[in-house]
Amino acid sequence: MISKLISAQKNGLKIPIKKRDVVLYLGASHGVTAKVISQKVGPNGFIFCIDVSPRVMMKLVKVCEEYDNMAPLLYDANKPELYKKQITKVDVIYQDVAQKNQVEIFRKNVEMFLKKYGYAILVLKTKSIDVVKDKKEVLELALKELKEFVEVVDYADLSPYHREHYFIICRKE
Amino acid sequence: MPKFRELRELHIANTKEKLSKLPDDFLIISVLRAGNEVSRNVKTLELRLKEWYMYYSGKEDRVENIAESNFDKNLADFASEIMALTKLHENLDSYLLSLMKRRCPKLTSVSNHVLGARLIAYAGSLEKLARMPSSKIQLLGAEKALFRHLKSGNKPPKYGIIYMHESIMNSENKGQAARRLASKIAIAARQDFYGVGRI
Repeated sequence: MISKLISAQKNGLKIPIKKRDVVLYLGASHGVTAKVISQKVGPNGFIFCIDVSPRVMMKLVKVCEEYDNMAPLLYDANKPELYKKQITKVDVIYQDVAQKNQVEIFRKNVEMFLKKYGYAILVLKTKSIDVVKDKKEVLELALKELKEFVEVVDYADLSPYHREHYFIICRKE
Repeated sequence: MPKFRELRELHIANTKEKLSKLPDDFLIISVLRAGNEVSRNVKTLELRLKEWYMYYSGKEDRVENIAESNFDKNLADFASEIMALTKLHENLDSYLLSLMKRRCPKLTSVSNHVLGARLIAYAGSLEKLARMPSSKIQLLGAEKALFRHLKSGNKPPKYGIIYMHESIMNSENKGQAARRLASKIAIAARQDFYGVGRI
């Protein structure tokens, strides 16, 4: 299984993460994709890795000790007010959480932490939102919801690398 | 970027501290699962051993006796390994008991420690168990039967994994016993998590 970020690149998307960017990563898990982003932003960039599960956090802390531009935070992405004072405003938000209210979590964090004209990337896991519906229907609904607060730049299906996943790039207006 | 460097050090230290202060739920679940795995393997290994022993002596015997027999060195070694695993299972069980007594004494006294740990494992944590209604605790582990009932109108299930408690197994009216035990477990879990007098 390869990282969703890499699969998106392979499927022809251009990832809007530059050198010196400050990134907020929601749902960092073991930090595999976070390492990729760490290289993208370079030594002058920074990543805040947020995850709620203590089990993966143990491994993530080890990774963050190795890379000197990553910081681990054990918080629930659904409650951004809890870590509001712990982090700064960011240039990019990358979200990969398998929750039913993914888009709502995304909205809260984008509104709270993203700078103006900053990019926000959402990895949409359609199976977590609705098991029965077709993935395209779920995507339509999510896009409609997203357009209320951001501009959707581009999106792509992540098959054949990941099933039932969409990679959506947005920009804050 | 000195600001971010300081921030990173701070977050690493904070997260480590948070991780070290986690409740024992995860430990309890791990110990429970390790114990289950060991006991299941001991049973299969014992079967293998007895089958092998039959080849030499033509009869069944206890593992302890096989370990002292002198038919085959490998066979005796095998038997003593199984005895070591049995001992390991006992140790894990008493460790689980001590963990459960420390984390949730009331739940341990209402149900037994293995059932309590299984309920915590099913719910995910003691907090989630404490927030469950007793009817849900009663049916934990019987989801398949419950949804079959909701879908097709078959008989509803009376109990889930709490069936392993002896008060239900030995009772005449199992549904009533399950209901009663589940309500007591719900109260005990809440008292353990929130403290007595706060429910």
